[in-house]
Amino acid sequence: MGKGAEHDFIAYQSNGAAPCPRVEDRAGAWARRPPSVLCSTVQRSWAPLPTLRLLAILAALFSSTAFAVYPERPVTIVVPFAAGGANDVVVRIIQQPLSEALGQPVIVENRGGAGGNIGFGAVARAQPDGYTLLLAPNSFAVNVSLYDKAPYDPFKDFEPVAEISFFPVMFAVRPDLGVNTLRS
Amino acid sequence: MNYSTPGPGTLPHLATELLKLRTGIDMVHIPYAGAAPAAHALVGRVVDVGTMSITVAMPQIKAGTLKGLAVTGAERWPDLPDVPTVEEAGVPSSVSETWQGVLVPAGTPKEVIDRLAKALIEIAGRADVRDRLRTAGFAANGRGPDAFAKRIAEDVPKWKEVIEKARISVK
Repeated sequence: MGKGAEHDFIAYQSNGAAPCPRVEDRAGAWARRPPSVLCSTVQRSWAPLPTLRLLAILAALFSSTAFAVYPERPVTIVVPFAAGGANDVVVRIIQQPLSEALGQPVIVENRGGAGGNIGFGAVARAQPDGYTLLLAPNSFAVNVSLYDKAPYDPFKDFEPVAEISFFPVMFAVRPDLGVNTLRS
Repeated sequence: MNYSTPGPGTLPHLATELLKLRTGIDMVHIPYAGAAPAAHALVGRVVDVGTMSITVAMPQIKAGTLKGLAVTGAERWPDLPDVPTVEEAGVPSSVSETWQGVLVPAGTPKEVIDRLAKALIEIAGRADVRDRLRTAGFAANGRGPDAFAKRIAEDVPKWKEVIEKARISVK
């Protein structure tokens, strides 16, 4: 049966019942403990294999179509600040185009507090199913050092998707200060 | 010398402390509660230097009441072609940029990440989106998972160094 048989066997094992020890193993194990009554010998029979193979194929089809049709419902973007800030400006600009691209409503959820940590922590613990997104500014990279206990790990708890925009800041003086360059 | 910022832990604060680390110059931080009072403190001669977003500085620069010494980006800002970058001004490894990007919880299927990344990069590249971002003070910069991951991987240790050496605290 080759590879197909292997898959069927694995599918069966993962079904719940533990496979029985092989007879030669049992002989040695016998002295230590009796064979479990919960084990199953069915994997030795070919009878359930067509059904199992069908189930495995259906499972594979289902899992690939599940992502092929993503998203099936509205997608939420968490902004870790109160409405009206810089991140809100960006998310409001991309909200409608993203909704059109995904074919689903995109909901903006402002979850401010603790310099963004409330929102970062909430998305870190959200279901990793593509229905909860985080619009993060660089405080995402800052807060882990700025706060004693940031409720997220920027590397372990998240997968980066895309950078949208950036901006620098500037050093400014009054013209009458007589300074024309940063060096001076 | 002293300098104003919109508050402790903000990018203007971190960027100035990074500049201090790289140059050894000494300036005292005077934090304000927001961008407008921080800029007013500079115009009103309360502080010597103000570190602020370009959006905040632009009206003052156009009015001639403020002058830009350097921008902290890797490249010059399109609206301020005569203002050099910090690195052009002679301070290496001193780029400070804030970014806005999308992340998802770890474990999100790759197919989903790819779908979202493709859509977001395309959106960030649209002329009307770029214009709207530009008007609001942002440079559109649609980049995918790898480039964004690199940015985060560089920023975390950079700001850790600045925060520790400058003993920055938000408490």
